[in-house]
Amino acid sequence: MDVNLIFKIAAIGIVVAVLNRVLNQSGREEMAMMTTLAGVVVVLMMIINLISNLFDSVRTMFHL
Amino acid sequence: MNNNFNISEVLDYLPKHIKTMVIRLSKESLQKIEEIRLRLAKPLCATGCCSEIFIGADGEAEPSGVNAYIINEDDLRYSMQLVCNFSMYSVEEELKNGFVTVNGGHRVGICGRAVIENGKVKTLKDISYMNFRVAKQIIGASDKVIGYIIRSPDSIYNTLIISPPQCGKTTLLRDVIRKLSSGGEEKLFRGMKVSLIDERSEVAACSLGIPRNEVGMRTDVLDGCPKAEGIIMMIRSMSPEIIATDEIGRLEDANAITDAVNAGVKVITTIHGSSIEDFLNKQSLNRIHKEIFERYVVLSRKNGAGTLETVLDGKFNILFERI
Amino acid sequence: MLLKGIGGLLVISASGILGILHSNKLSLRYKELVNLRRVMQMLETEVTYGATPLPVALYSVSKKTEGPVSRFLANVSEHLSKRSFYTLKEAWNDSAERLLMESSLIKADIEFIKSFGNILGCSDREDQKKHFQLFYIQLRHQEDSAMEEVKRSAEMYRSLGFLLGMAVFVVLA
Repeated sequence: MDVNLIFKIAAIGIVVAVLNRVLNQSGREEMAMMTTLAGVVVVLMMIINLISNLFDSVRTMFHL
Repeated sequence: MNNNFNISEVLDYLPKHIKTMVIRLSKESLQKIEEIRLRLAKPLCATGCCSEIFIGADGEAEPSGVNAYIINEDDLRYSMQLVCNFSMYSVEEELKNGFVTVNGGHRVGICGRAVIENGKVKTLKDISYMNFRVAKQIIGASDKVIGYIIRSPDSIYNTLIISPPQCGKTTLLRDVIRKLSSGGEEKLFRGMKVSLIDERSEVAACSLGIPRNEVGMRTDVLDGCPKAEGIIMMIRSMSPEIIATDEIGRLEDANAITDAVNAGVKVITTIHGSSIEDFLNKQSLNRIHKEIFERYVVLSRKNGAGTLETVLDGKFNILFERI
Repeated sequence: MLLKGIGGLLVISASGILGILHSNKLSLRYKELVNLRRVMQMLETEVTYGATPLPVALYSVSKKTEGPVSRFLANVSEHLSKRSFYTLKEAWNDSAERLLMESSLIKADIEFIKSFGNILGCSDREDQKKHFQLFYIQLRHQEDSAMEEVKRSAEMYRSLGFLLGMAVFVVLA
């Protein structure tokens, strides 16, 4: 578990939030929505490995 | 200034490809050219004193015009752009009279469809015919006549030059002005102050204020101004001893000339006409009377442009007659 | 660690500067349109009052003004004097293409300027005056749309530059 990862995700969250506000304010709502989506996708991609490990651990733990 | 130089000034107002064609003509042909004509859908034509040549696409002089270069709409359009300096509005006054004077004093006749407003010609459109007249300055053109015009070392006779078109009256007028302004040995003439009202910019051919032709040391030029007003302006401001102007024809011009003479100023001017009788019959100038002018000079083309036919005095006695 | 920091700083500032430049282009476009109006008004005076032929008129107006539009007029004047093209329209269009590259004006502005070249110098003073008036009215529309763009997007591009830079930095580092 990398602490850096948490910081990264937090940073992305902040950036997406600010981008969202700026784009909304200048009327580009579609773009705002796209950036939010992009942010979610990026974060997901960053933690996809961890999620995969989580499911593996759960499986081994419950002998599924 | 020799003739070749003048021709190239006129050629600058033709589209490049046409200019190239004309330049390829022989030197003697070029020297003789007095007019270049562009006629829509007709051969490119150049006329001289007693000759006419049609010009082919490779600069060949075609006497019959069969293989000559045929003028198209674009040629006329490009030529108009050059002649009016890309600015139709700057020549709209001149266009109303059917011709534009370009750099060098050359007259370009323009013909097309007249646009009428309030019964008068407002402008021309659909230009289909253009006639480039090459202006020539001939130093010494007045040698034969000047003796009759000078009265004493400090005075001249009021002179009217009568001539049909294309007979060199402007050339003659120009040289007379030059001689009178500069002075000379004839009768120890001292040279007088001349005010030239050059309405069509043909006599002095001023370009940016500087006369392109020789008009003499003591000559003041008012360029592009209507004659009647110009004469009055010059009398009031330049204290001339001689007023010179070209082509009087209207009542206002005649009145202004009369005013000038009454103010004690001498006049030299020209008028269209083929003989002295022609002049006397001119209705609009009835006022100008036979009392104003003291010398009449009649020109023709019989021996080429500038042929001196007769010189008469104020009472119509013949002082000189061509045999 | 230090290298990361410097790299990140570079990315963020590069992106940020791009954003600022783009934002400036918008406000510059508006300024140039306003300048265009001023320049054309001077040209109108030369044409309709002075009846000055175009090569001289364009040159003298370009001497009294500055900016890309001023250079554009000087360019056209030079083409006309040198007789590089057969008609004003051709000279005008050629210089307009150059103006597109050298200024912050957009294609729509340039097309609009080009259309004026079709009628400049082709009719008498009264008619030219009318065309100038029409030009100003259309120019007003361009100016208004430019101003709107500025209000809407100028601030946005500035922030966008930095934010995207930060996003890239965060994701990659």
